[in-house]
Amino acid sequence: MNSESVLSARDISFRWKEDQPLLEDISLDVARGQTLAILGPNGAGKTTLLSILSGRLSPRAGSVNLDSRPLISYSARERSRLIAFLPQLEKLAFNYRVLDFVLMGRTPCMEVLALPGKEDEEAALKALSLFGLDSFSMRNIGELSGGEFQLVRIARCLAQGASILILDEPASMLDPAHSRHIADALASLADSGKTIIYTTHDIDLAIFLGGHALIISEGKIQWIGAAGGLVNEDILGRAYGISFSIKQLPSAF
Amino acid sequence: MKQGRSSPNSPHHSSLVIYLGIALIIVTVLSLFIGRYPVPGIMNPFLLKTDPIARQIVLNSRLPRILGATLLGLVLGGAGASLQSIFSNPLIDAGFLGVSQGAAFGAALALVLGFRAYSVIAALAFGMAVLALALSIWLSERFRYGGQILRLVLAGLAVSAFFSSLLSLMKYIADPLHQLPDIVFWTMGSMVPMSWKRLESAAPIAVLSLIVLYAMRWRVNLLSLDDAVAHSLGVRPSLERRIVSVAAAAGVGVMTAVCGVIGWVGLIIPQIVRAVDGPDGRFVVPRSMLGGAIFVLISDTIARSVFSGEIPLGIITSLLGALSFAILLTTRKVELAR
Repeated sequence: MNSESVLSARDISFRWKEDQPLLEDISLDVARGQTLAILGPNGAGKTTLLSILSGRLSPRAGSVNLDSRPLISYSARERSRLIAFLPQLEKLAFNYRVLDFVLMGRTPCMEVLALPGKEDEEAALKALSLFGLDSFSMRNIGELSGGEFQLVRIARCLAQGASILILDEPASMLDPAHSRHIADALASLADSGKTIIYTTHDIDLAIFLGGHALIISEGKIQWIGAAGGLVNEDILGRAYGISFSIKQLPSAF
Repeated sequence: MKQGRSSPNSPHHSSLVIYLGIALIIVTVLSLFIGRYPVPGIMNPFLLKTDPIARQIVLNSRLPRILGATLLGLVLGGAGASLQSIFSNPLIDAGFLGVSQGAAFGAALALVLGFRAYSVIAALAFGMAVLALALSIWLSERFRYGGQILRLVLAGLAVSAFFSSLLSLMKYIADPLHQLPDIVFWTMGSMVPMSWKRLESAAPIAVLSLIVLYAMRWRVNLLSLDDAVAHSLGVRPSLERRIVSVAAAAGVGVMTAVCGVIGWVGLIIPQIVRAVDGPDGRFVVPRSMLGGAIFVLISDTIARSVFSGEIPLGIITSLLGALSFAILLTTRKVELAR
C-alpha cells in the first residue's frame, strides 16, 4: 500500500446482480491534496465507485482504507468529518433558505441532537462567501438557477469541514459560464489542499483541473495517469469505443 | 436579498414560538370558560367560587378535556410536521402509515365483539395502531420496488387500505341499532370520552412522543435531503427515520385510541407554519405542535359550544382543515423546491 495515500482501494469488485459484474479488481491510491478525475462511458460504474469510496456502498470483494484504516471501521459520524459526498442529482421536497441548507452541512461538527450555533452559522456563511454567494444566504433554494444551486451544494460540502470531497458530476448540465464557475471553485478548493475525487464526462474539465485522471470501462481501470495525458486520441478512443480527434474548438476552460 | 427574513439564530424565530405559546395559554383559559353552562357563551369566572356545579364542570369535565385536546393537537401537529420532513412529502400526515385506520379498526372490533368498557376499546385501538405501523415497516422492507421512502409510503397505503376494508367489514356486520352508531361516532373523533383517568393513561406515551419529536427537530431536516447526502452528513437515514416514525405513530396512536380519528390537523398545520416562515424543522416542528394544539382546542370549543348537541370534533377539524388547505393553495405559491 502506498503509505502517503489518504484513500486507497484494493482489488474492489462490485455487482448489483450476480451475473452482471460492474466493477472488477479496481485498485487505486489517492494522495492527500490530490485531484482525481474519474471518466468513462455511461454505465461504466463511476458513480458506484464513488459510492464505495465514500463508504455508502460496501464492495463485494476488496477493501477501502481511509488514513490506513479500513473505511468500514469508521462510525458514520467519524467518516462524515473526513469525507463529504455530493451526489449528481438532488431533489428537494422543501424550499429551504440557502443559509439553512448550507448549515445542514455543519451537522458532523455538532453534537448529535444539538442545533447549529453562531459558530456554525459563521462557517456556513464563510463557505458561501468563498464562492461569492454571500448575497444568496437569505434567498430560498427555489429562486436559484441550476448553476447557483450546484455552487450552494458544493458550499454545503465545504461547510462540512471534511478534507476529502467526493463529487459525482459536479459540472454536468450547466451552461459554459456556470461550468467554468464550478471549475474555478473546484480549482480553488484543490489549491487550498482539499483532496478532490470527481466524475465527469467533460474531458476539457479534467484537463483544466489537472491532477490525475483515470478512465474506467467494462468494470476495469483502462487508463490512469496525469490528467494532461487525456489529450490522446488512442486512449480516449479505446475507452469510449469511438474515434476522437484533437481540435481547437471553443472551450470554457 | 429577500427582506424581512431573519437569521436562524435571531430572536425573531424564538419569539414566534413564544407568541404561539402565549396564544395557546390564552385559548386554553378562554375555552375553560366558554360553553353552555349556565347559559351558552362565556361563564363568569367568579361562578367557580359560588357554584359547585360550575366548579365540577370546569375542573372535572372541561379541564381534562381541554388538556386532552391540547395534547392531541401537540402530537398531531408535531407528528405531521416531522413525518412530512422525513418522507420528503409535504402532503402526508400520521394517518398514512396505517396508524389511524388501524386504530379505527381496533375500536370497531372491540365494539363489534361487545366490549363497552372504554379501556378495552382504547387498548384494542392502540394495539391495532402499533400493529399497523409494524406491518407498514415490515412490508416496506419486503417490497421489491422503489427506494426506502417510496416503499414505506406504498406499504402505508396498502396497510391503510387493508384496515380500512376491515373497518368496513366491522360496520357491515355490526348491530345497526347499537354498535354501528358507536363505531361511526368513534371514527368521527371526539373529545367527549376524555377524562382525568384517560388523560393520565394516554399522557405518558404522548409526552414521550413529543419529547422525541422535539429532540429530532434538526435531524428531520437532514432526513428530508437525498439519502446519499444524509449519509455523507453522518446520518443513518433508515434508523433515524424509524425513530421518528415510531415516536410519531405511538403518540398519534395513543391519542387516537382515546379520541377517535381526528383528521387534517397533522396535514394542514405544518403547511400553514411553513408558508409563514419556511420549512426549517427547528422551527416548523415546535410551531406545528403549538399551532396544532390551538387548532384542536378551538375546534373542540366550537364542537361542544355551538349547538346543544355535541358535534364530533373530527367533522370540525376536517371542515376547517379542508377550507384552510384550499385557501392556502389558492392564495400562496406552494412551497415546493426542486
